[in-house]
Amino acid sequence: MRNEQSTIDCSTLKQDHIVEADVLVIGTGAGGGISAQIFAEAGLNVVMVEEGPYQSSTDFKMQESDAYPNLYHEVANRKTKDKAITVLQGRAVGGGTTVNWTSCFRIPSNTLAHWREVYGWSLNSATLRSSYDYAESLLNIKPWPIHNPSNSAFLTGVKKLNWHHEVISRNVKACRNLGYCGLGCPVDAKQSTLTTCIPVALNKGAKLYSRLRADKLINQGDTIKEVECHAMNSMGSDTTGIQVRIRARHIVLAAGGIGTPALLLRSELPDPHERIGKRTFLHVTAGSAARMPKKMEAYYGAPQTITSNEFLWRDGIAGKLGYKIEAAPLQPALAATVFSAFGQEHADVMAEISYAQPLIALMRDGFNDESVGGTVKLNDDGSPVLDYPLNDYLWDGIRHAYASMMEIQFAAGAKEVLPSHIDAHWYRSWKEAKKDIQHLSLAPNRAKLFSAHTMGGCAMGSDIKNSVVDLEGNYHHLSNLSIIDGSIFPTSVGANPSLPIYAMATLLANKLTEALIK
Amino acid sequence: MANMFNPKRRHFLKVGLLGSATLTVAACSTFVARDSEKCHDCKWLGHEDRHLLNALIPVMLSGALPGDMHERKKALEEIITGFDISVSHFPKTVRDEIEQLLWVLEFPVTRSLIGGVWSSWRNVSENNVKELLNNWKNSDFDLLRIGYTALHDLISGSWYANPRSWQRIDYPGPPKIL
Repeated sequence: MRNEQSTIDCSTLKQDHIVEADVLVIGTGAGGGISAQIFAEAGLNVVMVEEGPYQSSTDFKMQESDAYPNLYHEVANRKTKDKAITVLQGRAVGGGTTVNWTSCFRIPSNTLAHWREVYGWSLNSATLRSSYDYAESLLNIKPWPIHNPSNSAFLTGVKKLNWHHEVISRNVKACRNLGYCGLGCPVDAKQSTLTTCIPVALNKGAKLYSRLRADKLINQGDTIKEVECHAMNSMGSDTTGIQVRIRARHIVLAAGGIGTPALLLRSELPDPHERIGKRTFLHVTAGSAARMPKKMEAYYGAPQTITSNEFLWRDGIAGKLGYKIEAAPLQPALAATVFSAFGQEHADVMAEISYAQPLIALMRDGFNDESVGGTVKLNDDGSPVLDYPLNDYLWDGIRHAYASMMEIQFAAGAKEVLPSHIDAHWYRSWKEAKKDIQHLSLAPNRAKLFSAHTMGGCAMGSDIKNSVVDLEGNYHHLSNLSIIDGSIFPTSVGANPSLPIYAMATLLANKLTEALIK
Repeated sequence: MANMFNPKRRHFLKVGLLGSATLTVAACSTFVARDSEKCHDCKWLGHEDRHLLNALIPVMLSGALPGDMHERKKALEEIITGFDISVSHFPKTVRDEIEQLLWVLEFPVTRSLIGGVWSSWRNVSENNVKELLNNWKNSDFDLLRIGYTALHDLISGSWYANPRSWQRIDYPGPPKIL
């Protein structure tokens, strides 16, 4: 299947190269993968660049010890500047889609309305329909009503409370319900860009350079004339010293909410309103683990099949911070890091891991003036760091979410519940939990916070003063540069962003293709 | 000495010390390089790190390691290997931070004053290590909690990614694919 001529593992390169193409796509996740397929199908000569390795189902062994170092940024332990948020972010051919949990949602209509009102977007559900249709058919996105015990317990809880709930759609085909989506699908059931778009693009003549980091866009006047890339070693920890310079008529950035702004910042491109890297959002995520009377084995089965939007818009679009509640998979190494105790206390929690029912709450950041998200900055060596300060507005949402998750878990029959917080202890009743949670000290590195979604940092908008790209994804200040990934979202999405990125990529890549083949 | 972290005055002292320790690290790391000799079969860890981890791991994972001495020794070796593999996959900026953390724990002055460990890591008591971990975990000072979390996540992540840890926690492992 794999065409060796068209895929180059740059960690093995011994000399510098110069490459030419019609379109260079940097990043191969949801945005880059879809885009590359569309360009290649239109007959354009496409080159894809990916910092991570090119691995496939035969490499995926469902082992955390393999997956985290190989398929994630910073061993699945990327941190924000003050270390308060752990960012789980894929870094492999297929990007986040290789390791995501396959939960697909369209952009909520409230979110689109906000983007129209504040950022001058013109899109609505109707104008996006054909893009959704294309992506949903390509990736076989359909409701998945088969719930593992953990999602069933979640469903019991929200039903008992009479709270909103719905079945999640997933991008899978002949899924065996293994539950190891986050470690790379070993049976190619997941319809990621790794298994769909990228093979199509390669068959149409595209070239894929893996283990290659795009370092700098070099512009001359208003055009990018060359992209300077550096080969990574086989571990992905350092560059090897080998350079690949790529010249293309058009450059598409799809390196995600941290990678895309970082590349632009390193390139020191014109940015008169200093918008690059600002307002990067994370769906800051808190968790809660319940100890259930029955075995949950939350490491098995489709990870997320039920969601509750009961509190997503709890105070309107731009009011208090709302959040989306979902279940989560719980493989042991990840679980071990989430539980912050040590010694016997930690050993006891882990001994009952098969009875654990985890819930997570994803904060819908970016819709209120007090929620400005993070800023992508550069370390001395040019690597990115996301400075994401936590404030009272966020803490209020997080505290509210801890309470809601625990209320669901007790309603579902939990014996005990533990929020993801360094000072928390097991609560035996909803009454006890409700009282105690009001006094829990919420501070960075006390509350254990996560993110699996990077969005924003290069907002798309009609006003040059508060955006980086125009409504067609073109960089405001240069002629041959576009951005097609989650970084163009002006706020967080308010739902897992893979389908929103697939749909936007479909729309923008088709428009760009028209312009390029004119 | 029992708890240098609680009394207000001591707390001040500690913050000041950590600040200057960090400066010391920055200033001296090029001169007083950490024992740069790699330990046997290590990609990144050095000899001194191994002594430190040999003391930390049994306390961090107390109750979770095999009782049999032979099995326990093997587990310890493999946890250190997992720790080493993780750190060697980090980008340089993160490796440097882990190096600073280990340096603070290994350099005798900072080990004593910030870690509260007055003997060498080879002779330290389990109670002393427990005290250190508790103090750092519950500290009002952000940097110490960050240090605790880094050690906690690297050590516990390494152990529970290892199939040897699974029987005790009743995790059957990934399903067989036919």
